[in-house]
Amino acid sequence: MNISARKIGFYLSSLTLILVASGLSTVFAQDETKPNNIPAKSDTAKNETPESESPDEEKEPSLPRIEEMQIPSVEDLLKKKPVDWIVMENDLVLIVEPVYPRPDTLGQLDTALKESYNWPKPKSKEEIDEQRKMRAALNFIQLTLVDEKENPEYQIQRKSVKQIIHHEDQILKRIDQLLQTNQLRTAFEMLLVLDRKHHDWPGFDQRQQQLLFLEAKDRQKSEQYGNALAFIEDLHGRSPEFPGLSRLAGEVVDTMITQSVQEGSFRKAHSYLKRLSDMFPRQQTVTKWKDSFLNQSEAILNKADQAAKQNQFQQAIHSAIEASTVWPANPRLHETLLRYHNRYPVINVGVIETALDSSPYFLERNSTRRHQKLTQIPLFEVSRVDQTPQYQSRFFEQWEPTDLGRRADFILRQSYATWESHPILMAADISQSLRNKITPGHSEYDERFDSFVNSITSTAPFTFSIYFDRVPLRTEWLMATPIHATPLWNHVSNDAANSTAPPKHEILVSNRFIVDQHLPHQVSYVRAVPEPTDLREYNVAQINEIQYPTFEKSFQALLLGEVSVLPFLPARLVSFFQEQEEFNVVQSAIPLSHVLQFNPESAPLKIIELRRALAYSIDRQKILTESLLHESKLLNGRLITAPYYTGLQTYNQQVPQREYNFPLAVALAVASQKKIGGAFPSLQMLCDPNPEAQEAAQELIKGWARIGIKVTLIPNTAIEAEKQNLKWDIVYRTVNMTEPVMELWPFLTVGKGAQIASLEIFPDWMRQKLIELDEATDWDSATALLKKLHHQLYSMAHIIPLWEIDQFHVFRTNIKGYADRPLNFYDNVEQWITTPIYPKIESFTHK
Amino acid sequence: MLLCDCSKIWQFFILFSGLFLFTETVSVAQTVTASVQSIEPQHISLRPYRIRVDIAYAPAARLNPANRLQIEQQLQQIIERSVGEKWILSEKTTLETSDLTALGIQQNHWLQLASSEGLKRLQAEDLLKRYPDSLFDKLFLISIDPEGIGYRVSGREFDYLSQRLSPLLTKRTFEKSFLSETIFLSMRDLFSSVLTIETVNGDQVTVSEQASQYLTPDPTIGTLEKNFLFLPFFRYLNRNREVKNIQFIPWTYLIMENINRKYATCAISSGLRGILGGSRRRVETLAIQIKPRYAQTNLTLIPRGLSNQTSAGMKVQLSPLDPREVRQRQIAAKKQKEQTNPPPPDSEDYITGEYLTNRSGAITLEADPQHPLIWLYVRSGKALVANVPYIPGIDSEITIQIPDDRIRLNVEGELAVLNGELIEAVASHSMKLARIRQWARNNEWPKVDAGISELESGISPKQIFQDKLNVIQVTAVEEAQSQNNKAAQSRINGLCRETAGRIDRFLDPAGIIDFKTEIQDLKQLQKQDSDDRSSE
Repeated sequence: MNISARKIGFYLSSLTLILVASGLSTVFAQDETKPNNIPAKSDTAKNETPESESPDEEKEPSLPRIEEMQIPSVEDLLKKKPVDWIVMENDLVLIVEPVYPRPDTLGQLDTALKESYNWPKPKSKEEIDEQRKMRAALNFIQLTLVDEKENPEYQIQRKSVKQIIHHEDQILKRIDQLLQTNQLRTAFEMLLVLDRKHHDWPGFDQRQQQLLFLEAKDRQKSEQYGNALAFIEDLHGRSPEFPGLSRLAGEVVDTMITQSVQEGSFRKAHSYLKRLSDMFPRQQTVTKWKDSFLNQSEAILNKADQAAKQNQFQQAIHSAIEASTVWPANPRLHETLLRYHNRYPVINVGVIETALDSSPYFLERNSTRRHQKLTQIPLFEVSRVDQTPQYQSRFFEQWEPTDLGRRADFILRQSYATWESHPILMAADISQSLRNKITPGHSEYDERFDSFVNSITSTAPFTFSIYFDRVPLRTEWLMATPIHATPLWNHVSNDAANSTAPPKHEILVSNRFIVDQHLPHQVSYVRAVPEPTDLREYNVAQINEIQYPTFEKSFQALLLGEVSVLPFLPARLVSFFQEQEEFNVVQSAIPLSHVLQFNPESAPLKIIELRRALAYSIDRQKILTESLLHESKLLNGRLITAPYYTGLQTYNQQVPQREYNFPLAVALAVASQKKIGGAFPSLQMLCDPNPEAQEAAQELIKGWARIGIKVTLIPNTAIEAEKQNLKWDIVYRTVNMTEPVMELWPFLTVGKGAQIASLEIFPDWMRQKLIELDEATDWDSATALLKKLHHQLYSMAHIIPLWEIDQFHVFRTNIKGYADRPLNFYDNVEQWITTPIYPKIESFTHK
Repeated sequence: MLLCDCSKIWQFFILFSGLFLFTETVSVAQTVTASVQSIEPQHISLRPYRIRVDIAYAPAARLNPANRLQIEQQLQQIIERSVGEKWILSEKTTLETSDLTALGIQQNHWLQLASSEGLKRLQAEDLLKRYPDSLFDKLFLISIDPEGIGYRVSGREFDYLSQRLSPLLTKRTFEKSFLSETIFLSMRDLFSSVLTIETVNGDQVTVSEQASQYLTPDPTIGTLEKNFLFLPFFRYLNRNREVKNIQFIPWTYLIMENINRKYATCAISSGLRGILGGSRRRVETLAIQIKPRYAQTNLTLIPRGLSNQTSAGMKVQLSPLDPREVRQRQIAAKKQKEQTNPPPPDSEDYITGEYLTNRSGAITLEADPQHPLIWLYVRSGKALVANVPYIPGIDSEITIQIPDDRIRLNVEGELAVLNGELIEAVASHSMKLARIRQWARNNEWPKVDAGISELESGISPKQIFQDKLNVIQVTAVEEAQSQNNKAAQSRINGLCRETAGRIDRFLDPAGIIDFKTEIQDLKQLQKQDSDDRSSE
């Protein structure tokens, strides 16, 4: 305390001395009263000084010199009271509380003083005095000494002050030191403090830019090039000409592009290059990489030309597409792409999962349905659905039932159109394959088919007959099966072209397209039989299904032009695409039915009360409208009571919907809990990978949780798929049945097919009903049986039909020839015609 | 020449002697025109088996006459040495017999294919035509044909009394000198004993085996053992003691239990009631030993009468227990459950196998040497439509008729739905009661009154369910009546009665009255409480 008091006294005496020594005549206090006090204070000081100061103290330096001043530490700057340093002409420093105006106090005073001479001329003596006083005040700096408790306020003549080092300047100095020692984080924090204390303090921007530059360098050093580039861009935005910035940006981007090129991610590389060229268009790196990409794409285009000369058009278009990926700005690209694309059209389809991905969901899903449709042509296929399915065949010229339906004679077509992509089918191919289906023990043995068919005879190369044991309800449905046999035509044909080139893949007679390549995240399909070489216009030759992790990514890819088609479009986005001119939205002929099914081997779900509790606890209408349709297009979805299309003749419209009834669900859950004899076990649910199904499944789980039933969703990952004996209790399925009379049985047996053994899980009455339905010989009795079964299945909650949602597909307008209301996405695919999409050079974006 | 003449004379002699000596015993089977003898008056246990062995040598076997003679001689020696008097290979008579009627070991020149295939194609009728006046009880048909570097010896046994031809049995040997022994082993395995059923006492029969008084030197041959299985059959005779018809009793088997020299006792295992009991005139009741010869039997269910019901997908259960034992177990389990209230035991633990018939209505039963006899329970929903014993492996194919159960099964399905709805109604009703109770506890009496009046005002759920049940019952019963299916009517009524009981129990209107009383009590209690509080 004494030392402090003594110091204060010492400072005051020193101040007086300085003022005297510097030839100042007066030192005034700020207010009117001060001038009287200050001299008094000075007098007191004068009087007291000889008494209080010892000879030793006189030897002490009165005030610190500027050279001696230490820049306060970060801690002091942050925690202690801010102080300014007033540097006197003699380099002594007064430590005072922050002085005003600031920043640049001296400059501001000088300017004000200069401007005071431009004041309006005073009109009276009072005004003259007033102006004089005000002008005189501009010659003084008001200051408050720190640690001076009594009368700490003084004023000092401007002339005697050499420099004022404000607290903020001290921070800047500290920042400079921190930047020098590469303590960037602390420097950044100090900058923040400074900005908060005084926005736009002179020198702040420079430090900030310096910090950004150093940060960028630091990130470059630690190989965080993305962050480094972000700092560079930030700095460029503040100071484009910052010294060394261009060089640093070039170095960073060069490294990033090199890495991206090594990864084969040209889109990324282009993105970096664009970012660099936006900042420094004439940078050496920009030129270097532009040249490099151009050269590379040129080389690839040359390869494409070479391949085309050898009639390897698949290779040619592949190279052209690759060149467009490497450098879309290549001026030759447009013409080359058009030429080869016309010869070998390729369509990229954006999908969320492919049929070849491993998934624990073992049942039919959108990807497998697409794959099946694209790779196989059944002997008969459903062409349209108008209450009942109508069939057509691509292979038969004529078929006729005879002998009261006990025999059917078939005549095969002998010639095909150029666009058709399947091999020539002969009677022997069919008869052999169908015989396999009725041979017990054969891998293709089909118990149901065997129960109908007695024998198959081929009477000529293109005619054959089938003899039935039982007259099938619909011969077309029974024969709606692909033929898994290598084509015999190749052995009997004299066509030299067929025999020269060895086939790359094994092709079966029913193949439409075949899998050409299976890469991670992509499956390529090519025509089983390519189109002839001398056509004017070619239909699609290759389909690439490109997988994206989410629907949003596939949506983005469609907008970017990476893909031209999306087979799945959520109902809520239909209106968006319908408004776009460059897209066409196509609605599928029948909706997709969403159904919950129970594992017959799951012990708890054998309890009818529990199944009913699960059914009553889900608010289907709410989930459908709020989560799936988003209340936008309510007409795109409907609640259902059976796992098939509501527009079918066999759908029983009389079955009432089960309304959401939470209290009843709770009551049933309690009843089932009594039967279980303890707490509910946690149930496992498998779910179709369809995004709508996944979203709805989450809502269902929440609904079940409300009545105390915990259900866990099994993730659709490859790891789960590899697990042996995967346990599941509930499965969320999506189905699009067209012939429920025949398809209901295999549907109910959950992947075990239409075999008698698979019916073991059902009660006898239901088993007999399903068999009776299978053996029905007329439509009326079959429809009546199915309607009754529909009612019973729904009532017994063996399945919980949820809703049906219309399916939509989006096509870019560069694709033509698809069906207006396709039953399956790849309907008519052989006749699809496409023109190339040229990449938008200006819209390089990061994928 | 002399031999030829002699044989003709013998044939002639036998023919005449047969006509004169056995005028009473010669009979004709219904299906065959050939004459068949009835049993001789001598007690069966004293009558040895008259054996004839026909051996067919395949030309490819390259066995010359000397080899053949050697085989036959050796075989005769083995038979005499091992079986002794139980089998007689030559008739002790002075009368001459022909090749066709003679006992003993003969060469078979008539078999078109002297191989196992030729034997397999044979039918019992063929043998009756070929040997119309035979003297033998057992005919062993043997063929020797080459197989690889050795020989395949195949054989079938024809039993004259039952006119049953056994399945084919095949053995292999690689050495010519072992042929006679292999033939004998085949005969030993093929041989099936014949019993006469002397008396029937409930589920037990006393039987007497043919030639049981003769002990065999080798006790493993032709000696009865416990658990041997027999298939009973009737021989219907006319007034002249001629065999009119032979009928095997379906789904009935005898299981050997006790054996002594002359008599033995067997247990009856039958799907038919009292089939062996009662006295029958001019009917001989016999049984022939059966052994599972096939690895499996295809059992096919066929609809009875003119029904077009599918027999696909029907449940067939296998059990070692007969229905009586099963019933006893079920009753015991029920009693135990009522007394001690333990967790319900698995009522079907006696089921050792369960099958679903395929689209042809067939199942495949595997032969089990450890437990040859099983009971088949054919079920249609909750109803048992057939239960019979069977020994898998004794036939390659067999059929069983089942009654049409479709109407009853439909009712079962409809009642399952109705019961499901009943559960919902009961749960919903309980929920409403719980809510009213809650209101009552919270003193929300207007709500309570509204709730109770809502409960009372609607149509009684009991009435709704009873109406639904009546519709199901009446429709089904009428349909069953139109088919004159009384069993179905009775079963439908039973099922509906059960459901009606459930409706009465769970939707009893008395429950609402009790509930109202409970609510009234609660109201009074709360009123008293509030009065007490106000007085305080």
